[in-house]
Order: sequence, then structure tokens, then C-alpha cells
Amino acid sequence: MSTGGTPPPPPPSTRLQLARVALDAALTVAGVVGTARALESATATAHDRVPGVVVVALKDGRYDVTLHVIAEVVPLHDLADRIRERVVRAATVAGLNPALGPVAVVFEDVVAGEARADR
Amino acid sequence: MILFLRLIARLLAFVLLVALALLGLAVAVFSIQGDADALSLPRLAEYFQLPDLRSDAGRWLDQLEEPGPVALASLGGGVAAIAAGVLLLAGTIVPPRERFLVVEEEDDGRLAARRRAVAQAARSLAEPVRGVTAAKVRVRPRRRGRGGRLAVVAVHPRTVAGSEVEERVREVLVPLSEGFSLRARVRARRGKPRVE
Repeated sequence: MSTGGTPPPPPPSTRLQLARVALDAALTVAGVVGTARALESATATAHDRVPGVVVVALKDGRYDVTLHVIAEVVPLHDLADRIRERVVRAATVAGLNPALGPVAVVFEDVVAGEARADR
Repeated sequence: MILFLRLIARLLAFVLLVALALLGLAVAVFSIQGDADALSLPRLAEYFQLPDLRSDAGRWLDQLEEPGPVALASLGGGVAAIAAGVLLLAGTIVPPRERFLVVEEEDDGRLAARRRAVAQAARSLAEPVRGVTAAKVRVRPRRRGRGGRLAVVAVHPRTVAGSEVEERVREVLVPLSEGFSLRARVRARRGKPRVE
């Protein structure tokens, strides 16, 4: 018997899973206010879109992850290191570490700490 | 480059639109009357000297058909027009790309920041400095490689010496300028006193 509805979306690709894991991990780091909302800083498929992170496949089968971050006024160098560590750890926990390539952090903006609640 | 082309394309589009609007207005006004009356289209053509222009263009096209300096000049003009058109199209279509300030580029990833982010961080450090009423910051990333320049103008009241302000601001900017491989230049400028 046919249900007649739209077919269910396919399971998320490794690329999309990595994007989601990286975004969630980055947002938990203290000092990160949010991520960029622009279309060019998002990973998108026909069914889903993860803003603020761009995941690109590399020749060796891994994926390059670039996070477009909005940060508080904190030492940005240290913050980038913490974000990278957190992303690598989260990918390991999710079983995606073999697919994880270089992790780039791009600071899109720096805002005052009080803005965190607004975003 | 693209920003400049974009500016030129926008300016040209504006000028052309204004010219088109004025021309449309003129045609509308000169359509009020017919034949060769004062507000007729033939009279408008006369005002613009279109009959003379037609004969001049005809003569010029005749010269163009034969080999000679006019043909070469027109060839050059045509090529230049195509090049100008391509550049204007590039200015309209190609999005301007902002240069990132690259801080670190290793095998395991890259650390970069937009100018705005670094400028905001520098401003947040400079403005609370004693004697500073406002800070204007400009960040210029290097075209290639890491780092760049950080120019800060610290505004201070007359009661504080500019050299002191420069020294203090330079001190607070050290972590940022070292962390981001920026060559900082701080300049003090006297402004109005802060009113609280």
C-alpha cells in the first residue's frame, strides 16, 4: 500500500554530520557568541543547511572544516585553539575523526559580552 | 580592483539612467504636437542635429569600409569598448572579496579573521584606556602571507598628553598585535573632552 506522501529525506552525509558536530562543538566553547548567517558560510544540501560552518571534501577522502565564528572580546588566538580542540574531540566522540581534516577558524566579528543573550 | 570597477559600474548605470529618463521626458514632451510644429518629434531631431549626425555617420561608415587609418582607429575603438564592457560586467557580477587577516596557516588548520573582528577587538582594548575618549581603528591585512597593519587613532582630551595616551594604548594592544602578527601604529589626536 502506498502512503502517497513525500519520500523521507536520505540519511545525513558524512559532510553534513561533520558540519553539525563541528557547529555544536564550537557553540559550546566559552567566548563564542554565535556563527555567521551568510549563505556562503554554510554547509547545505537539498534537505538541510548548517549555518556558520563550511565543510569541503579533500582529495584524500577527509573533509576540511571552516568555522565562521562571532566571538566575545577575548584573546582570539586562544579561543581558536579551544574551538579546534573541542571540534576534534566532538568528532572523535561521534566516530567521525577519520573523516576530519584541517579545522580552520575565521572570526567574522567580535561583539561585547552582553550580546550573547541576544543571539 | 573589483571594488573600484563596481563603483564605476554603479556610477555609469546611474548616469545612463538619468540620461535615459531625461531623453524619455524630452520624447514625451515633443510628442505633444505633430508634423513640424514646435513640440513635434521632427523638431526634437533638429534640436539634437540628428540629420547632420546621420550624414556624418554615413560618411564615416563609408571610410570605414576601405582600409586606412579610420578602419584601424575603429578597430582599436571596438577592442577598447569590448574590454571596457568586460570590466564593467566584472564590476557588476563579481562579488567583492574581503581580504582576511591570516594569523596561522598550518597543516591542521587555519586561523583567520575579518578586518571588522580585529578592529572591534582593538577598539575594545583601546577605548577603556585612561585618557582615551574614543578610538578609531583600521586593519590592513597583508596581500600575501600572515599578519598586517593595525592603525589606531586614540582621541584624548587636552588635559592628557598625547604621548602618554599613545604609550598606554600601545601597551594594551601588544597581546593583540603579537597574537595576530600585526604591526601596530598608534597616534593620539586631541578631541573634545568626554562629558558624563
